[in-house]
Amino acid sequence: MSAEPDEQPVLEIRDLVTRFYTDEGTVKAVDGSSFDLYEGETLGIVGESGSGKSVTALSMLQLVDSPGRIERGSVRYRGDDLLKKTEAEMRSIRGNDIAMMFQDPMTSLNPVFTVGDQISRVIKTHQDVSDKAARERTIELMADVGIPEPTSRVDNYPHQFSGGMRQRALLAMAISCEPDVLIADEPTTALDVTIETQIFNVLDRLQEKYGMSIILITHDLGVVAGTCDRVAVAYGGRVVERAGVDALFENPRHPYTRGLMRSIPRLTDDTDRLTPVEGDVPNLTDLPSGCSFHPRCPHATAECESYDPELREVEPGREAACLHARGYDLSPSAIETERAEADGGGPTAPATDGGEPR
Amino acid sequence: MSDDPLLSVSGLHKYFTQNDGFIDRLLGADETVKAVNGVSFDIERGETLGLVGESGSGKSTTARSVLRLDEPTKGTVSYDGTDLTALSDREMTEMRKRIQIVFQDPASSLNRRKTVGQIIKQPMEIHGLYKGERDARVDELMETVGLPPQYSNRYPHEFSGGQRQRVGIARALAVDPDFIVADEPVSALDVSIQAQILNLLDDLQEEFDLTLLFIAHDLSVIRHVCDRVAVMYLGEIVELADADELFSNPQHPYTRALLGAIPQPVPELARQRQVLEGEVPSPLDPPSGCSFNPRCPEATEECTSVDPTLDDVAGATGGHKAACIHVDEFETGAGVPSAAQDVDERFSIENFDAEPTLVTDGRGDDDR
Repeated sequence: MSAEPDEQPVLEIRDLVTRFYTDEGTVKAVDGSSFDLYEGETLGIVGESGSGKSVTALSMLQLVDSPGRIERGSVRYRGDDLLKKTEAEMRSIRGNDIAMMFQDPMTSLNPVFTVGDQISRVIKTHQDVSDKAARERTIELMADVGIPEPTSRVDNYPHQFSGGMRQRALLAMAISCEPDVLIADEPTTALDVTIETQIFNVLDRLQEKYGMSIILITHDLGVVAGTCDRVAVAYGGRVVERAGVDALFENPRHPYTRGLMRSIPRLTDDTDRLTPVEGDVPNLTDLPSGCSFHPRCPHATAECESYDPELREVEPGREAACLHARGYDLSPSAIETERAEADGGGPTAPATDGGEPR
Repeated sequence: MSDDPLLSVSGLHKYFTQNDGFIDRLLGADETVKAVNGVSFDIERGETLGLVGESGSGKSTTARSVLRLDEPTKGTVSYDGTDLTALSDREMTEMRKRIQIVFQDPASSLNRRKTVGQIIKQPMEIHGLYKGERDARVDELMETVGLPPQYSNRYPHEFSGGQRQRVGIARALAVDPDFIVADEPVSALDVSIQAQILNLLDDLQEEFDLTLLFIAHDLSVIRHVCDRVAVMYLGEIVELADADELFSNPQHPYTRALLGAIPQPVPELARQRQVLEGEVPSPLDPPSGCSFNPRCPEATEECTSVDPTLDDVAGATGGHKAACIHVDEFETGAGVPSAAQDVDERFSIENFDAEPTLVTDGRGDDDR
């Protein structure tokens, strides 16, 4: 992976599987997700509803509640597998080393406490400081995230804040312990576009100031294009394509990514007709066989219905999970490796119409 | 502009009075929110007018007031020559045969206890239309919006978001209206589904000769759907123009700021997003003069006292109007470039490498 940074990743997620056992059946929310986060970068995880992107984030911090269960995989943070940590150990990691910021600032903030109290409480949970020091730090943080007049607004309640200001308050809370990694789950989805731009500007500045690595979970390809260094595209509970942001938007390799790029309405394009991805987003209780995108894929062949393609390098620094992607390795040795990695019966090799490998 | 628009809205106001209760009323502490504050526009027959703005701009309230789902405080709404604001409730109900609405959230706008067949049939029952042929018409409508008619006895929760929006559209079409208000019809949908619904609306408009008022916060969606666009800010229209003209030659500083803030799915463009500082002010306490002046990069002293009117932009085409006293000082053609060709080709189905290129064994080995 020469195009990726040489150093060890900060976070290394491998074959993560999280399922929810509901009355309606088993929801394969995360179905073998793999990706890395490198020092100081912003990694975008982009996907639609049912792509499993949010549950992936929750799983990384062991925040999956019953009926959900993390079934297997590893989440190595600086070499240490987080999935092997106890709840007590996780509690000191969450917020301190890896902080998370959620989508909806209205439900993430408690309406009966002041914003300042809520930020201070996070600080005091992780640091042994006096009330006064925590309050001072809170005001500092509020200024840092661009909340005007922080000395008076520290005593405001959440309902006295606008949506944008609430999101800033959540950001202040998330960075209060200067985390190593920030996971932001749709941090601007509920906000207007002008406010969204403001929030990403603040996030940018804070990333520089604190040297954070950021995982940004979003459904918005425009946000990815403007904010991320590298991108993981999620579909049906796993990552189907990984690439640097410029490469991904220049020439997406997975048919799903290409379909998304075709279907988004663009400001630079005034054609009346859009080119949708046909069909519907998959139901995670009943994923299609083989490649989960095959029912919607314009390139699907008979093999795609049975062969479940792994994420593989298709060129240095880029990976795709599609049999038909250019550069996708179907040579016997790659299939062997895959079989060995899969527990029990590996997937059957598809008929390769390209003949014997060189 | 023709002399005979289907809908003509003139000086529309909608005020909400906020008094939290008895004590407030006793103290006379009423506060008035001017949600829609003097909005005028026409919609030609067969046209799609886009109403775009951020939250709190009054775009949805405008639509609801036009339909009298919220009673307008002031102003007239002339529909095909009839002033809707002067109609009795009974007459208005009668008029609703011709005017329908598609809501944003298909999950909450469909009755969960009814089958989609019953949901689509209901407007026909209310208006006493298509007696004896309603079931056949339900099937036909479902087919029209791309749903298998055999699903008509299923419930909304058995459908995906995109399918539910199709049900909402079929319901709106049931009474054969000539005017549809689509209030953020795709903003709750996944990206890959949005395009399907937008294409469907485009088809239906053609097939049924519909006139549309299309409300959205997403200017990219607006660009694809609308013939003309009205940009709203704090209860007022600040710019109104043909879609092509608006996107190639935006004049109002707010429109320009909105266009500049949109994250385009092109990294080199998205990284140059421009930040518009500040937030939409509270409508309880709007700024004096131009309501955009506290955030406007072009604002002068004058802007804090003069409330600009929506006037023709000098030298512009297609009924381009803007509400800004400095509009003559701005350069023209500062809009977004058109790059359709490139995108179509780059991501086309044909340009995907369908043949797998097999790489050597050696390469495969270090892929771990």
